[in-house]
Amino acid sequence: MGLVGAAAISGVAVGFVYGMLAFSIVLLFKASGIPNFAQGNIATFGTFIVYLLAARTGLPLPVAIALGFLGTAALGVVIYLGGILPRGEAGTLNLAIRTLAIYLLLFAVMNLFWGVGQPFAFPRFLPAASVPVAGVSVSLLSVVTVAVALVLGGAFWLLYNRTATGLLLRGIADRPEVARLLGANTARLSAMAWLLAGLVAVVVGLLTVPTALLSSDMMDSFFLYAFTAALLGGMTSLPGAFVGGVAVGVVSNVVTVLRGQEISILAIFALLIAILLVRPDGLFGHGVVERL
Amino acid sequence: MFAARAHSRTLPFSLAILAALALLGLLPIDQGMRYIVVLSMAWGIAAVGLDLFSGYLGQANFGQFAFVGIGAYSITALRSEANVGVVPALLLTMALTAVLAAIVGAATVRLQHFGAALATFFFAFVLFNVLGGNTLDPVTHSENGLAVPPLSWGPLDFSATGEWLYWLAWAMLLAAVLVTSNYANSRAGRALRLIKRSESVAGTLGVRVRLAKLSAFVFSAVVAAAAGLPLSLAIGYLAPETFHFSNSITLFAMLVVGGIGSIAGALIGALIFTALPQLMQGAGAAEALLFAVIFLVFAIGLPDGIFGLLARAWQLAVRTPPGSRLAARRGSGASRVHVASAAPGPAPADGLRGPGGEDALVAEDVSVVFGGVRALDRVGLRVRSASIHALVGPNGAGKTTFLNCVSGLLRPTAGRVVVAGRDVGRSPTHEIRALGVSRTFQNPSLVPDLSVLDNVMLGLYGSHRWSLVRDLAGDWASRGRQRAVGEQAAAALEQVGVPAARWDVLASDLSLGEQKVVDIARAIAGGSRLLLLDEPTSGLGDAEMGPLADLLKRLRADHRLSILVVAHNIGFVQDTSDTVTVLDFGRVIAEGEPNRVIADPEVITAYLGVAEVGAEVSA
Repeated sequence: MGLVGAAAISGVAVGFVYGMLAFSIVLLFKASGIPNFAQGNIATFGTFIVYLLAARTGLPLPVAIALGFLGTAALGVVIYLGGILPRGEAGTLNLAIRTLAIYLLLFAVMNLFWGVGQPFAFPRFLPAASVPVAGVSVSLLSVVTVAVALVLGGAFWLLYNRTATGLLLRGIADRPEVARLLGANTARLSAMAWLLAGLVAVVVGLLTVPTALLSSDMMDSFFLYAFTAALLGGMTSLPGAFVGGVAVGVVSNVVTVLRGQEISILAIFALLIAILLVRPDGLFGHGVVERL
Repeated sequence: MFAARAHSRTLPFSLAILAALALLGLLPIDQGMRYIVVLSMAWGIAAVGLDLFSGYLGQANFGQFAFVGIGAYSITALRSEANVGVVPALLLTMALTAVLAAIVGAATVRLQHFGAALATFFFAFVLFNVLGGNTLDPVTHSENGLAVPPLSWGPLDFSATGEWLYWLAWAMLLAAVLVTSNYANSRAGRALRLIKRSESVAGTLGVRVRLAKLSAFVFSAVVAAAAGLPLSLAIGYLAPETFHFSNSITLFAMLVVGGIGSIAGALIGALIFTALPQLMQGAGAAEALLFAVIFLVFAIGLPDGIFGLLARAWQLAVRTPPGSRLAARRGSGASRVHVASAAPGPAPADGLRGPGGEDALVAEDVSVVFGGVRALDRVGLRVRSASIHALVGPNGAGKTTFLNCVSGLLRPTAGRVVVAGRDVGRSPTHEIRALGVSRTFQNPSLVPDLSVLDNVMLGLYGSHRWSLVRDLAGDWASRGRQRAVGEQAAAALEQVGVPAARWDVLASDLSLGEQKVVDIARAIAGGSRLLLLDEPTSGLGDAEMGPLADLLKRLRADHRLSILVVAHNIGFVQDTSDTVTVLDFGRVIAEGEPNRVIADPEVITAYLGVAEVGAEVSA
């Protein structure tokens, strides 16, 4: 196991972070057909809430994290109700443009009110220990990340397969008109999806800050990588998002070790273009047919 | 697809704004203000170019500012590192950008859904990292950046503090507006608006969709690169941060707020967004917040932007529908067009009597399989020349799928589709159109924001040789051709009986019945041998059905047109058709003369059920 092997293993862990962010993007895309360009900044926003509560008002970290989840879930719902729901039939591209505006909006709010003196060191909540896994020393953060991702995936599997709300969420994803005809309140379900996406975003942010300093732009590369992962997974497949995330994580880490960060960004860009050209429906997606 | 519609012939508005900018330049405004206006004009150049791609073609490009960065760096590096003169540096940069954009665009214009949006965004992110990285360090000097050498020509000082930079930026903006406006209002621009409406429809009308999209992408990138010249001279120093990828979003925001698809709106947006910081006294973060809020409010509530508001106000004030200036100009003159002189296209009769014999269309054993579903199962069908052949069957029987096979939108899994003696099963749509196959769609697919005449002119896209260079040069360069095409389109409209008074009406203002007839005119303009009609009767009242039947019979008799028509109305089929084929679950269950087929017991049980003959069968 040389440097490349170690990079690949840490790539799996960071890949699960991309995977979770991709997961939240797919969650929204399935529920409302919107590619959310603001999802990375929602994660940063949530992490800022936790940081400000813990570091500046002195709340205990668990309380701060709980409030962070609450606040970001609320933010997701507010974004949906204020930015997406009004005139929501305007078409995918118009809605994508709105999420770009929300991207700028969240970025500006963070810079204006909390940005002075950034980047910040986030309070440590995991010991910097490492754990031996199959003879290789792996950081505790990596192990925790993978565990959290699996628990999250499992929880969502239960939600989608074992609860009425989950079934309805799947329903509006696959056949929105039918779900509406059957009496599903699609606005409420979409709001629910944005709420859930907000919760996942905080998890992503919290698993990112132990290795990156907290700043308003910390998710920029993450969200592009996560989108690539989501597309690789097929954009409509929740497990596919994790598979895509791990693939992107491993490629990016290995190329970074071999050729440096700049080339690694190029490699992921090339990967994105290749997926879009060769398999636009990703590994697990299904195509859409135009009605004439 | 954007909700916003595109506007035709907005040049007067753009020129008014440019005139105002010229006046401003003559006034003794202070240095700071001049600098702001120069910057906004540089942004305006990029925004105008982007409008062609996003406003008229309807494609997202969230990374356009990357091309401004490439332009600025390339021009500056050529001037400072290679001592190239400014004009060759600009031209070389534009050529370089064209090549690069062709490579990036070849990939992105194929992408569906939001793929292009994401890919272009990512591209800007990549460029930002490359500018600050080591790979191109000899050229970009990485984080250290590039100093822009001052520029002067004789007594004219074009540097940031010089008097003449303002006029350089102004002249380049004027050029960008003129060329983009020519593009948008030419045949190529109308084709872009058709692609925005539907790529499939554009293909069946003979547009080479990917090439058209790629041309628009390359064009907008080259214009953006040119904006790099005034921008670099104004700021005097290039750093990666100047070309941060979020600037691409700001550029797009300018377009949305100013009014996408109008060119003049791009100018308005660029001016507002660069003038605002001046008004706010440079409160950086607060200003960014205000931008974002304005952007969001417009994207939600006013997707037409400021120009859309102005256009609506103008219409209310003048109380005339858009395009009426044209009506006045053409006026009754339109009726003087000689139908005979503009007889549609390349002699349809010849092709029919070719080696293929008497049949306009022969389909043999055509099968189409979607996943596990057999949409068409060994369908055989023959359309004799100068005859009307009806294709009937319940919903989901495969009628539209069959039309898609003939027009090239779909490749049959097996079997042959022979038109004019040639198997077209694997041919691209524009080649099939060139053989004289044209079609209409179930939902009339006119471009809503173009006039009736402009829409029909789109049908002539494939039948003439055009050059994009002439289109960019303006009306005068392609006037002869435009006139010929206009006359052919007028002839087609007369053939189908659309009164000249309706020719300048926007397609979105037509009734459904009118739209269907205009769709037919567009299909037969420029000469059609085989006309495929997909449910021309659906949604029509009885009063509109008769004239439509008469029209089809007239086209058959007068122009020896062969027609394959999908219809549900049995009375209409009996009235018009020479022969009928009945499809059920992708298989042919009966064919022959209408009256005999309709009496066929298998047809009655499988398709008509117990319905009375002559009743509207609505599935």
